[in-house]
Amino acid sequence: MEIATAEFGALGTNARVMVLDAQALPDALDAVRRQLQAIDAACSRFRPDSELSRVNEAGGQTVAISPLLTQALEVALRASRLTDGIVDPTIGDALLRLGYSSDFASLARHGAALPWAVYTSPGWQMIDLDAGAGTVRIPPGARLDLGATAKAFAADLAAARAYAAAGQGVLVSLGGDIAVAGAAPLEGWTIRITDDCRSAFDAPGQTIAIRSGGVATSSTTVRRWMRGGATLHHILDPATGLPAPEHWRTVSVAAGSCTDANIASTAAIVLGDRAPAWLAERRLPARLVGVDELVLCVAGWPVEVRPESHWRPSADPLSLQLASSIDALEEPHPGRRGRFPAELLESDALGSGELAR
Amino acid sequence: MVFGGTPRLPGRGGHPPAYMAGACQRVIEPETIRGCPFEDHPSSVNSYRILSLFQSMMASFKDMNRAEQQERIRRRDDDVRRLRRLTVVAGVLGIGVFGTASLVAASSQPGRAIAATGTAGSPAVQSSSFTSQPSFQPPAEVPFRGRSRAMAVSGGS
Repeated sequence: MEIATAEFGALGTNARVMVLDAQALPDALDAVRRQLQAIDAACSRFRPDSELSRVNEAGGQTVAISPLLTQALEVALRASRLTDGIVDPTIGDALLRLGYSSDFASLARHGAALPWAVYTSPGWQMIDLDAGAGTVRIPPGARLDLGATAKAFAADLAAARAYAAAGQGVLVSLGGDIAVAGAAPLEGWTIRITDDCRSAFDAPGQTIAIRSGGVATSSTTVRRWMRGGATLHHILDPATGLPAPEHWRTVSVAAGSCTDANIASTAAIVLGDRAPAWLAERRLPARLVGVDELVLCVAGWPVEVRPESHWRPSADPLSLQLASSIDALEEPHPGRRGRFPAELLESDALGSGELAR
Repeated sequence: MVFGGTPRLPGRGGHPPAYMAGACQRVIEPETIRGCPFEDHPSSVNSYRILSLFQSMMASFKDMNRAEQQERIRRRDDDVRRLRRLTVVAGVLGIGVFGTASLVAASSQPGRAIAATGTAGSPAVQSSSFTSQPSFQPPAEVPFRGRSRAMAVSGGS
């Protein structure tokens, strides 16, 4: 049976739909498009008319939300619970402070140095979600960002919907977050694991296959921008409000759903050298590529054969320096992981300045 | 029966072992015992009485054992019947429980329970599998080497 494939742009990235039967492709595509439109209208941080924007602008008031956004918020809160706050939807304001204020395609890659302060996100516990009533309230000034979960959640939903509509096994990939539903091809759904989801199929990486669940990859090598000479990336440590130190350049995880895979891959980037044990403990097969290009496979991820290396590390001393200095200053704080001590936050030692000069 | 030795039951062999042949004074064959041909030897008569008593005891033991065996067989048959009944009931219950569990499991898989409609006509998946699982869900099967040319790419975005 010939696998039919189609691609289109969605959610600020590319969507790829694969169906076991070519005749079922139109139905599957239609279902995926409608699902992604619904997710975009509910969860986009960059659309002023989205439900999430309405929540972010509510100034601490309770807002009525749709069942879809309710579910997306439940997914985000579950991610926070599962990761002890390493994946936290209240980092929206921290992203804004670092200049990530618009859709990445339109974001200026270079800009002036940003005045900044060490910023701790309000914390996911401050989200007052009433799923039964369909309402949510966040503290005044807090902003939610569902980037760590919404896309993978959308992939899961879209795959399920496409399968229901087409009646054939489907794969849905949203910017590298991959969910499958229904029957798989005999050889499984083949997936190329790389640093960048826009890469060609022969890009450096590894080819694997799955039959169910999902695969997600988080990487610090994409969605990078510069402010005042410092290179930033989009995966923040909620404890500091700054890009996570770059211990791994790319982490790929397989799980029972794309959502779980993406939560784990994002958390692994933030966890740094603690990630392999953390993933293995949760029986999540993963492939971690270090900034030194060393590849680590855990929990049953197939070990790859790498005849030669194509990747050359892009020297980025400023971001690495920033990361290491933050790492050195981190001090565990009772109750929350990796918080800066209050005296440091109030002093000029870290309280103001520019990211890098 | 060997005088001065261990009494042996008539009808169950009756002959002394070869190593006792020299020590035996006389071997009593089963048919001669019935008539008690040793009346002129009081000690032999006593032995005969003891032997008779022993025989009657063994016979009652046999009868008792037979009755007990029959009782046990009856009980075993009852147990088997009861077990069969229980097996049938457990089977029916098991099929019911398994069927229910299968339905619940199927409906809790991602996206299987698509039911309601969200705002603006947007479909919403009512399955709670994405939101209520208390822990990470590992994959049903670990990834394996891919070989097909039709593929998707998983990378950072």
